[in-house]
Amino acid sequence: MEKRNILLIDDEPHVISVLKHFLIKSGYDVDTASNGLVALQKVEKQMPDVIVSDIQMPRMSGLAFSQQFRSNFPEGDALIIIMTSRTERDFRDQAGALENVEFFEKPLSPKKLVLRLKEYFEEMECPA
Amino acid sequence: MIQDQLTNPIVILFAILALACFTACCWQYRQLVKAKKVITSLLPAEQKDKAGNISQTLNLLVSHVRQKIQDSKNLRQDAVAENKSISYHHKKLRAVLEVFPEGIVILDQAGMATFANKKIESMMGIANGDVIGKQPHDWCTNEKVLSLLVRYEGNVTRLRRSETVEFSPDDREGKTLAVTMSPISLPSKPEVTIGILILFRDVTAESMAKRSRDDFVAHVSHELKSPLNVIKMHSELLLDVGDDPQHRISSLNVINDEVDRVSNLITDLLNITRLEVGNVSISRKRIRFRDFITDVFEKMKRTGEENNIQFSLNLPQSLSHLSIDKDLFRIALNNILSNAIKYNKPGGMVTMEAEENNESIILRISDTGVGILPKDQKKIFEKFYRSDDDDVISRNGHGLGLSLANEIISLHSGHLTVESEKGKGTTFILELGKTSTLLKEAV
Repeated sequence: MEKRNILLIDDEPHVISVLKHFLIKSGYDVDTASNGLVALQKVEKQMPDVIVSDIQMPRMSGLAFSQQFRSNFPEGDALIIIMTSRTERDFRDQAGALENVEFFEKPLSPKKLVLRLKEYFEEMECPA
Repeated sequence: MIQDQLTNPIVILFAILALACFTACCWQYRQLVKAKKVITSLLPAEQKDKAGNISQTLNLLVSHVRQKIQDSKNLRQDAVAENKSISYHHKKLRAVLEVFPEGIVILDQAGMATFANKKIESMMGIANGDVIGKQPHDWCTNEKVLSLLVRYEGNVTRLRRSETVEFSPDDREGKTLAVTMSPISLPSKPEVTIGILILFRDVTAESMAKRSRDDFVAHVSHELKSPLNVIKMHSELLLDVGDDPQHRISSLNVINDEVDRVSNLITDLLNITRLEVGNVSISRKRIRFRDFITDVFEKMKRTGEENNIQFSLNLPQSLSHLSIDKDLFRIALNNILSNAIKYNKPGGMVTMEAEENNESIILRISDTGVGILPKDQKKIFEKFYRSDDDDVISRNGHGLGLSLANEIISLHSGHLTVESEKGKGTTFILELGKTSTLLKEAV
């Protein structure tokens, strides 16, 4: 079966490197972007299965990216996981209005993220 | 006002009753006196005794009627006094409503405005005279407000508790007003709504303070959670990679750096918050300013030299002594100098120069670093501002250092300005008045 593709978007290189380590170890193909603008260029070339994004980033935030992505690819069914904190309420409210968006609370456990992805792909393969 | 009194239905009713009563009594009295005389003159002698009895009865009747006339006069005087009192209280109430800082409109049960104070003009841009006697859709042009005002149109009794909406007037950007609609009822019948009180309040300042507080909390939360996030991830990585020494050292270094980042952020946050709320303890002392800035510069130089940066200090032989808070001023200078190091290029230069004139001492801290884009130069003193320039993004920072420096220098009645050219370097110019280095009251 073809490898699932994950796009990681974060301006924090330390976050990218650790998540990449865990995701590759779990058998995923991983692509990375340092902000929303770079990510928009990447999805043009390859549509990911899941996008994991930080919310506050220079140039283009995770929220602006998610809105742009959903508008550019209305048929795209990629799950968007946004890493955020509870106090970023405005962002959450606006991003929550989009379809197929989930939130992961910071500080984020890479293992929990891996578990969620595993669960998500299993649901996709054997829908209840 | 006299016209108001004359048209007041209660006053008119009182007046009519009193007048009718008085007229009736006078007529009765005259009739009775006349009847007594006629009866006495017409009666034969043998009937005089009987007539005497009748006369007594009539006398009693006359005195009774006389009393009634007096009562009626008193009633009329009371009615006039009552009318004056009602009129006075009416005027007083209107005067109170007029001086209210909020715009006030009162609707009757049919939804028609029976009162509007002058303040409504500055709030809604319509004269109060154009509101009175009209329905909301005749005078309210703001859709959001109108949708609230007409919600109970035709049935005000359904409004049981206050309802509020906030809105921005169409013609004034940046203003936020709140309109509150409250039911009016009499104390004797609180369950019956007899009208609606509409209050317009300017809540721009409250709204801005709330927004700024929310932004601050969101920024702090993001800035604190970001390093914690990295620490959490590298801790899990350490558990995952086992004994691999290369991974362990790399992760531990990252964790160490991120702990410093959180710690510095908390220190800066505490300082800036204490300065802003004005409860920082300030100790003003007259110090040898030249020695002080030399000491700050030399300590910072040790950090910078590890990063392959050159340092140059050019000070006059002597500088006047100044009254400053050493601890706060050290924070300000450290923040400017550490930026000069952080945003420098490898092998770059950091220079501090000073000059003195009759009024002030001017410090210039320059670097040969990456420079600041013109669009960012006005914003670098704002709390949490970080440019999206690649040269800035690639370096750690939380956007509080210069804001704190600026705050401290302002507290010393000084000025901090910046000159910069992208790619060539930046100079921060700090001007301190020699007579005004007495600290301002922290506000």
